[in-house]
Amino acid sequence: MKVVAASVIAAGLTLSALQAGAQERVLRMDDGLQLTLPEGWRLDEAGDDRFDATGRRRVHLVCETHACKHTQETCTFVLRAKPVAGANDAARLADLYEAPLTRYARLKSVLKSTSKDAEIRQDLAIRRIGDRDWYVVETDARHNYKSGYFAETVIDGTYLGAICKTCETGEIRHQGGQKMLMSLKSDKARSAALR
Amino acid sequence: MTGVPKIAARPAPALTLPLAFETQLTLADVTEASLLANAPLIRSNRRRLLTIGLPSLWFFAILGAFAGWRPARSPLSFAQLGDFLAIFIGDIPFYLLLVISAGVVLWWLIHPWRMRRLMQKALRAAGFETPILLRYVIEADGLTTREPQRESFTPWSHISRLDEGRDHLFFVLPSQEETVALPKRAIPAGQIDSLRGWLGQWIGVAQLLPEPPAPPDNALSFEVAMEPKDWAAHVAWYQDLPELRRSRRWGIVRNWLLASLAVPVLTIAAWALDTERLPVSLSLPIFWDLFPSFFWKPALAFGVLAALRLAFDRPLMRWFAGYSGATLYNSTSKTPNRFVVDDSGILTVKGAATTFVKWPGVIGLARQPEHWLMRISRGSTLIVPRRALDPAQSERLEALCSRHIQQA
Repeated sequence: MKVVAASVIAAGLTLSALQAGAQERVLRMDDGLQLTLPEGWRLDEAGDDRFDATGRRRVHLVCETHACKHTQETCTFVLRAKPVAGANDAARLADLYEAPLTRYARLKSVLKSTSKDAEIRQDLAIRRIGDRDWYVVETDARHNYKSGYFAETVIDGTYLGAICKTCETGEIRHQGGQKMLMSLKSDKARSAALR
Repeated sequence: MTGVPKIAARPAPALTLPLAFETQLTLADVTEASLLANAPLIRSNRRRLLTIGLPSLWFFAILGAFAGWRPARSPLSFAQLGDFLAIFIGDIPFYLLLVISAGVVLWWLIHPWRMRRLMQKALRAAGFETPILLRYVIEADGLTTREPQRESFTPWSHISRLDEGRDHLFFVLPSQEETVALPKRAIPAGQIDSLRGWLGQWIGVAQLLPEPPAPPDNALSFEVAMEPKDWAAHVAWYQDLPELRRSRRWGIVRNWLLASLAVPVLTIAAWALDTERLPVSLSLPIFWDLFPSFFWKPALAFGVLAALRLAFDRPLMRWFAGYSGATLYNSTSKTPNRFVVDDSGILTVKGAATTFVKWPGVIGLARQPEHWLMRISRGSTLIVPRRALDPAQSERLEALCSRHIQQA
């Protein structure tokens, strides 16, 4: 088990079964961050690109449950290599969109990445998800396009962004994605030991 | 030297002299002449917008952008100045800096138009109201201009060059004294080419001119060489005319408003032109949050500058008058002016150039501690330094002015 974990960590990412027989699986990322994947979600290896052009580490997850056949839910987690400056995580998170123009740019980019004529369903604001604060903005796409749930947080100075997409048009959306956000944990000591 | 072909002298174009033209000289004509006379000063000021204004803007912007980058516990430094500036410009994004730079370039582009407007305003303030019927007489020895209350003669040797605009020929004097505009509309069709050629041959050429006639025995006559302080007194008085003072104050307030509104207006314009702009409902709260950094703080900063400018208007104008006085002195002929004053009017003689103004042509008199400043037509002023007159002469000039000038 340790051999498997080490080899995946070497690729920047670990996906392992913590409890044999259980459906809960833990996704480990750099800087000791880990997420618990809900049932039916898997790592899309094809989309697993450790280093993209901007130097960010990107993880693509897809949902394969029966319900997801219609909603086609996916989530992408992005880790930035450069630490976020600031006194503490709350200040670091608040600094992300302190300047009004960066808020403008953020809203514009999420609408653009959703679809033409998309609308903002939930305005950009800091919200509590699990035991962490996240900057969240949610979009509502035009027909035949996926709506988006965009969340960002800073954990021990590391930036983590989540982009979840779904075809669901009802009131309740992105449940799988939100579960993963709620499960975010930081295990710096373990990460340092494995290095 | 035999065998070397002689270069034939260019034959002077045939003109039947004297040649006379008559036209209504308008404010626009005099403005063009004044702009040409002040062209060197205007050109250098316009150039400074790009050579000093733009680099300064970028310097301060870059200083603001790098305000956070400095060693810990640094002493008072440029970086700390940058910290202060960052309050106002530190969070201006690069594109906005480009837009502001474009504003400076636009200012540079409209500078000639602004100068034309300012010159018209100044000429109006100095008393140019209605067009003047002006007669130009071109003779072998010089140019004579006649208007109802004024007549001037300028020998060709006294004119430094002939300049030409779209609608005018300009007789440029070797100084900023007074450039004479001859509107082309006054010249009969077909004569302009021969006139241009003829003038080109005679302007600036040394001439033997008869001595001006001796002044009448009963006239008040005195001579004075102009000094920088004389020109400075004139500029100071001009700048202190109520119309110009009022217009300057409004200009400061207007510029403050424009400068304060520039960033918000440009931001909203950039938003309106953006094909992928956010809807109003989302943009408005963001613009509202932008107000402190994009409107209130710049408005406050520019307001402080405007208030300082208003508070120091007089000392600044004194400095400007001194600077302009020195510039005018350096650019004008040092030949002394002779004044001959009697009940018919005022004759000024400078070398062989003369100007005679009948008393009704003197539309105002300002008594300064060291000068008499007489406003005459076309926005011109006669500067009479008091030092040129002894007490008896001063008393006589005062009496003549009181008798003949309505506003004295």
